[in-house]
Amino acid sequence: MNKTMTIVLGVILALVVLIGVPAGMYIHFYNGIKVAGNEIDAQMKQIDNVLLRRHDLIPNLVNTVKGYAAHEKEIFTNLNNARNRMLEANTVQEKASASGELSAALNRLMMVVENYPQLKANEQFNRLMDSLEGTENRLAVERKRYNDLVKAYNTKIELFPGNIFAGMMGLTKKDYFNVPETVKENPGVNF
Amino acid sequence: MIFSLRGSVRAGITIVICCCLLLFFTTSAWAITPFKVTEFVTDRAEIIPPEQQRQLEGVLQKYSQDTGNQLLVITIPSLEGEELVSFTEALFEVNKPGQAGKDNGLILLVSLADREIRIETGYGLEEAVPDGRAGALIRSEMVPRFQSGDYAGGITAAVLRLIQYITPDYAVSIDNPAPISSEDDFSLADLLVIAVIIILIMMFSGRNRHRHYRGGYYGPTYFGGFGGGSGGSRGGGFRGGGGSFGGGGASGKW
Repeated sequence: MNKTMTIVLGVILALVVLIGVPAGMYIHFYNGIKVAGNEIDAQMKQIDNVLLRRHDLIPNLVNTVKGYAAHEKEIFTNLNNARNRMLEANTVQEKASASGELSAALNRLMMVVENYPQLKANEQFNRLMDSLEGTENRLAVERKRYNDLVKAYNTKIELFPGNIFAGMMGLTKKDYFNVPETVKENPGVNF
Repeated sequence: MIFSLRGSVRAGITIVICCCLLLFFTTSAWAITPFKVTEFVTDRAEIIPPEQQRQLEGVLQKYSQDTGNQLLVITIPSLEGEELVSFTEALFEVNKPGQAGKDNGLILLVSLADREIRIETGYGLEEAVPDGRAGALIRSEMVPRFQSGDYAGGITAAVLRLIQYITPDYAVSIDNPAPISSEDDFSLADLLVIAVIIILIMMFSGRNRHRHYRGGYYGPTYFGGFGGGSGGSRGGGFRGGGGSFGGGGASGKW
């Protein structure tokens, strides 16, 4: 009687340990990684908002600058191309590199503008420049937050026992929103 | 052989540690670190006369009580090589002006030596103070006054304009200005002010130099005459509200 009780209890205990604990860990991991994934998606939306904001800003900027520097055609073409490429980008990496190109094109515009003192005396233009700087800055802030979230996510699925569960769930590491090296050395824009 | 190897390893470690320490101390001596403020107006560059500082502190404190919007004015002697935008953002991160969820905070930073100004808007104020408006405000209200040396005037004008943008119907009452005291009307209030100053000086002269924290706590409550209404004994200085920002705002130079 006593013996069978002990055996039964032992079996239950073993079951609890062998199934319950991993199951508990799995549930914990599953929920955690879902939350982390959702946070990343939400943060990507924030980045998209900023990208859209910049997209909408460019025509205004171009029109204003054209009034003073219509002959700088190459700059405008580049800017337009970069803006269109931005629209076609879908994955994080594509968006990041297209965004970098657009930043670079905008920076070239800003450098050219240095040669037009009248433009710099135009208050409407100055406000547009404020908005542009603000957008670039917002992008930097949101990108950093995005990358922090991605880092946390990737760490979660790399550490034991998360790596096993991640393998079972078929999860892979998320991409960072990385700015291409060429854009990083911009003066005036803070990354 | 083994012993000497161990010895050299140890020497190597010692050198590395020394280098790290040296690096740590030198960098901490140069770089300015984001600090917590306890007043709405924190004048580390000492460019705002006490009278006006009190007044502005009173206005911003009352504004925060009335509307929940928290506008912080911070001046520093120099950025010490830090980048203007990222330093303002770090200040925002540390102090979190604005209410959580509403994100209705803002920081106006002035760095004297660098001659740089930055307005950093919380998420919730981006609509009322778009970047272009913030920049225009810096250019029109602050830069000209700063160029003629009127820092307090420029900052006050900017703050009033910001309040007007955020809450067009809000009536700023600078009706409680510090009295311009002349010799003959030396009142009890003046005596009290002097007594408090002396006590403060005595309190902090002996202690470490990281004054500001409690000094600022007493300042606005006693001098301004504000903050008596609500919260009373806890004082009316600024406490971080939990607001967050998204990188909006504008910068300027004078």
